[in-house]
Amino acid sequence: MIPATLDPGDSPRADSPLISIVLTGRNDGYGGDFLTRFFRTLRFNHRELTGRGIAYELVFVEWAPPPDSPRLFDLVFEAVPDLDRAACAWYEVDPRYQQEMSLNPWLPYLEFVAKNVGVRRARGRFVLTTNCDVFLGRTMLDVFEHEALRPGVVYRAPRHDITLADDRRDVDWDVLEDPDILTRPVKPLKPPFFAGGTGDFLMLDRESFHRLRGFNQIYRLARFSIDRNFLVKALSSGLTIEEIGGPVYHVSHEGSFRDNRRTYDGREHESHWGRLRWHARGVIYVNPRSWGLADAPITPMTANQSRLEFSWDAVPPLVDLERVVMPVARLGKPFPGEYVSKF
Amino acid sequence: MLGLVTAGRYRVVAEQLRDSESRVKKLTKVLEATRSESKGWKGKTNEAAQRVKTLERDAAKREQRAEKERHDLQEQMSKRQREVAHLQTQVDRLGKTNAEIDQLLVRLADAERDLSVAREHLMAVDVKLDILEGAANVLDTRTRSAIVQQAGKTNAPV
Repeated sequence: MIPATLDPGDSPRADSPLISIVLTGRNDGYGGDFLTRFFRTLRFNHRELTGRGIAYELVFVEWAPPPDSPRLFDLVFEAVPDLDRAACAWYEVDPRYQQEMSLNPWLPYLEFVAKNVGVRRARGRFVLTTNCDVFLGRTMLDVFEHEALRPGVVYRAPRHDITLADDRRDVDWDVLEDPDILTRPVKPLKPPFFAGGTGDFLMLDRESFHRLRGFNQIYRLARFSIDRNFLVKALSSGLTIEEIGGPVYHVSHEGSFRDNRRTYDGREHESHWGRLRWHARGVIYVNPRSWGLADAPITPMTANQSRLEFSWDAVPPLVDLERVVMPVARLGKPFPGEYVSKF
Repeated sequence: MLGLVTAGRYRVVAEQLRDSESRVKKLTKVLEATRSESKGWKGKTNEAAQRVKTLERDAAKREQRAEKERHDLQEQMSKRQREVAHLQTQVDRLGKTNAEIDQLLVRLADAERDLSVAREHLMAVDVKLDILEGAANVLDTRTRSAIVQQAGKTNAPV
């Protein structure tokens, strides 16, 4: 049986930053020129956060990096010279975790297991999971600056897809907020789940994140809708979901889901997002206490860089069916989603 | 004696004759007036009799009509009574049907709940099957690769 008690994680320390920003990536050229997109975004976000005096920690999970490419850790401080090493926590994860944990050979990146690694180790009072090519918007920066965040609330933001020239090294507000660079009309988020581009902005206090034990790492067959599945679990667990009030900006790139969703018509199983049709709205999960590779041995590499070494002790079982559970329909909240036909 | 009267007597008789003639004239006038009046009354009587006859005919017709209407009404009443009885039967039947519908609605709500629960379980089963299928594929790949490796070491045919 799954234990009924949930682990809230360690309480935040007095010196904990307000926010931990959890990112994951690797130097594999994902989506075209990954490095340019990542560094350009990081420069902007770091400048805006530090400019407003917002205490934040960057938790980066370099998941299963390719052996023949330089590590992002070795490139980032040169590309973003202002980035404070002391405000970074960098985790490199042994590629064997990807190999041994994946239940889908077409899925090359267990993105949300990687994010769990970061969430599990984040020190901030609030943990923001986002992506490497997502610019933070003005409104959320205001919210951070005024520390107007409440525990027990999952914060969401709509995503504005924008088009930027590949060679543009830096961006500013005039560029980001120019309506002419929107790639497509903006989709407003709808209650109660406020889903849609969820992986691009999902923020919650650290303790609640731990109580929920992160993202689903039982269903390791998809990247798609794992973030939405988290929202279903959050509502089922009695948390509130709110829109923070302003957008994030995501740079359109080759291979992104929104631009390529028809690519795998008729052969969805081959999609690198994994299963596209699964019951992310109707079934939730209870991760084991060791979620986020808590039992993985850690080797410190530098003061702010560690490596999660492979150990079978840290690998969850391939199949752990009793951890697939039904969500609770809370009073006044919607019932779990309708049955989604897979065929 | 014949034709001989005294003058006095003659005057008296002549006077009496004039009175008589005068009375006769008066009576004749009265008689004529009475006759005329009698004719008037007779006419009126005839008219009245005619009217009476007319009224009697009307009354008879109305009576006939009333009789017919009464008869019609009785028929309609009988018909309505039959209809009321029929409707009462239908009302009774509808009452039973309503009770049956109420029962069916309760059963439908139960069935919907069961269906919803079944769908939820089906979703969970689907997800579990996905996981099992994924695991089976992973194990299959690992097994094949182990066999190939083993075969490579021993040169045994695979």
